[in-house]
Amino acid sequence: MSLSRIYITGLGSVSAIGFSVQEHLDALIAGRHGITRLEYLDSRFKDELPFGEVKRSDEEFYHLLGIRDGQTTNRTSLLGMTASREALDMAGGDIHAFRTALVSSTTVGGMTQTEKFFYQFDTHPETRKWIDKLDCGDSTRDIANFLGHRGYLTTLSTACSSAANAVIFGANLIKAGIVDRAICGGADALSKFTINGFHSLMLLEKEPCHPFDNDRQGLNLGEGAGYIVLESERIADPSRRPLLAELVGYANTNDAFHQTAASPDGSGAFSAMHKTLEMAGIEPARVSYINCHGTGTPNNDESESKGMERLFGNNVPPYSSTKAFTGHTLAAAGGIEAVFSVLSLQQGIIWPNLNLRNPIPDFSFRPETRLRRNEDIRYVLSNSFGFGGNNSSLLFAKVES
Amino acid sequence: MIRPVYINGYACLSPQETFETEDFLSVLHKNPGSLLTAIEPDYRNFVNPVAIRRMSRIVKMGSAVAKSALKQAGIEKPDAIIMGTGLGCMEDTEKFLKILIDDNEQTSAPTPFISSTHNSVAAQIALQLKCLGYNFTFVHKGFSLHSALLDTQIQIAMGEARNVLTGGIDEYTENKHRHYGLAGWWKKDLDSTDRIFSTKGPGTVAGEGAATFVMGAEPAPHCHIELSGTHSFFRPEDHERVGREMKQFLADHGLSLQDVDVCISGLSGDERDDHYYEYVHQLLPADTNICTFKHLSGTWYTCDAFALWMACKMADTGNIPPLALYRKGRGSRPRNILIYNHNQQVSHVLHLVKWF
Repeated sequence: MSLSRIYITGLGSVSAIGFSVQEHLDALIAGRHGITRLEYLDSRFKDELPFGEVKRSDEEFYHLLGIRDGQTTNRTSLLGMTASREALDMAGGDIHAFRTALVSSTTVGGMTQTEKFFYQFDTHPETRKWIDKLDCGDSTRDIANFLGHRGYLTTLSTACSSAANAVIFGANLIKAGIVDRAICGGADALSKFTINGFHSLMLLEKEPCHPFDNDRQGLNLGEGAGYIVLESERIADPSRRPLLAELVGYANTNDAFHQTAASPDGSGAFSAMHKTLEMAGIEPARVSYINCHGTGTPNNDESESKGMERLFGNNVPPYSSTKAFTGHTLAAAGGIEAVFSVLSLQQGIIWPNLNLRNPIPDFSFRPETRLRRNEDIRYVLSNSFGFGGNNSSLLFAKVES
Repeated sequence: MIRPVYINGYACLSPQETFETEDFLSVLHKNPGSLLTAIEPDYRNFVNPVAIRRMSRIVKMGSAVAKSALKQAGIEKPDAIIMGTGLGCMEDTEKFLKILIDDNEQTSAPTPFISSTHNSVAAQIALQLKCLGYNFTFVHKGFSLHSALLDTQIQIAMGEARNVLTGGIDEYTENKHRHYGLAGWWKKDLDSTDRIFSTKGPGTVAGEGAATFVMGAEPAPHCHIELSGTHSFFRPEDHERVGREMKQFLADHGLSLQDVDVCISGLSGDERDDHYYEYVHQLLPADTNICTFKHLSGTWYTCDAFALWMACKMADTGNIPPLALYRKGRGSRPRNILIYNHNQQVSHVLHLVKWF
């Protein structure tokens, strides 16, 4: 195994607050969230609950991406294509120039169509072209075909930590010498399936979510996609494309506590962050900012705060959750937030935690609620935690020019 | 090149008698139609009876093979759990989907939603074993098992784990089977599932199962099998590309086509897919044994896990079961066993197992 350093050379994102990285940056700086009523997905909850919906129809995506009518491309794929294309373009277009992997992730894949046609497959032959479009790998195949990718590809599905795990696997493929470049991230479309699922678990907030607030009731579901391009130190060349950041640490651990709840003592969050810093050889005190998982559910925010308290003691660095901007985009969250973390390093900005009214009194620290500019940001930690006790952290570092 | 890993334990639950038995495919299980369902054990022997009641079928299957393989390897708790599944937890996904559609989003059903999550099997195994380490689930059609095996090799090579529980698992529901039938995946009016090769035309038969492998950085005292490597390629432009990939993969492990004692081929009886396998069969020397498995396992996205289990069993026993033998070759004890499989011509995988 080589110990190649891993550089980030491309970013791509689409969510309720934008269709490009630039639009996300503008929205984050302006404090403009994307939590609204549903306009595109026809769910019974559309006038009842707020969501982070991407305000573009499938037809508009088809048109903009140059996909022919009648092709079977589900919304998860459309979101993934949009963000991965942007990331690849930023890194320098030609996908065949290097040995490249596409490591994508999703939790629901083509569910948006399957839930529409499930009973019609038997009776309406014209719907059958969607039968083979549900599984997670199918959306990655769509994205690969769209990008013209013929190299290594695979898909992770580990609930809400999926995209962070795609980044971890991509980095390991580079370190193992299998590829020199990896396009990593995740995509998830809103579906009735996930809306009703999280509603069944009583995890959906009736108003715009307020992560790390003492009165938080739950999360807002969102949709989107986020991808980053990783390059080995062998091919990363600042004279070709700027090195946006370095991925210096990562870890995945398991709570082994409960299928859907995080350990209340924060041990899972702690171990993922701790192992990540250990890999990077970085003291906790050197972390400049934490982009938290911070979903707004009572359980997550408590557990994540305890994990931070245990790791950082009385010196918890500035932290925030950006989920009040985008909603919780499930598999995509780790990808979109990896983009936000790299932007934070590049811009020297700490993103605000919106909607905070009463900080949790049990903790001596509180999230950053204002946009803080001109910060000397060296290391950004990004957390993603999922069902099945699945905890992942990524540590991004500023590249000194 | 990533260093090989040692297969210290393995277990398989499938439509044949493969689980917790010394027997090696001496009895053929077959039925009319195009679906082979897994033969399930009494799960109380493998899983805490209180926990069983809350577990979905696929989680029970995964837990049982995990327990069995770990026991064989003499490992209580692996450092990492890495699973591959093509469809994830189909039964609960459909259960929740039906409630959602039938009741027009009026009914709350948290249990099937929780259980529908694709990483449920790996997570539930971790929960039972209190395994706090790395826990990954790959869900990518015919690449799912390959990715899990490659990740296992990487985790061990990086020193992140010394023992990894890995494997492939998929289940079929009546609905899913019928839907894929509508999409043209299965042979129609088949009088017996083992007749896929003699019934010309498109389609094959479906199957389901779970196979797990305990891979170690070092061989256990009883272990004589290594996974030398695994390789995948996507959308080959022609048959020759398959040949080139195969030769290169073998060369990477110091072997040539002549060194392959047994090739386990994914031949499925589907004329749209079989030309790749037939090309490989004629590429291999005439004295290479060729085995098939899909008339025994049926096809599922991670059915190459069944083939890998077969390879382990062949390496351990030195026997090639007559039920699996498609073309008889040399009679020497099988040493190098190559698995070649593809999923609908798109996702091609090679796994190499060595007996030492």
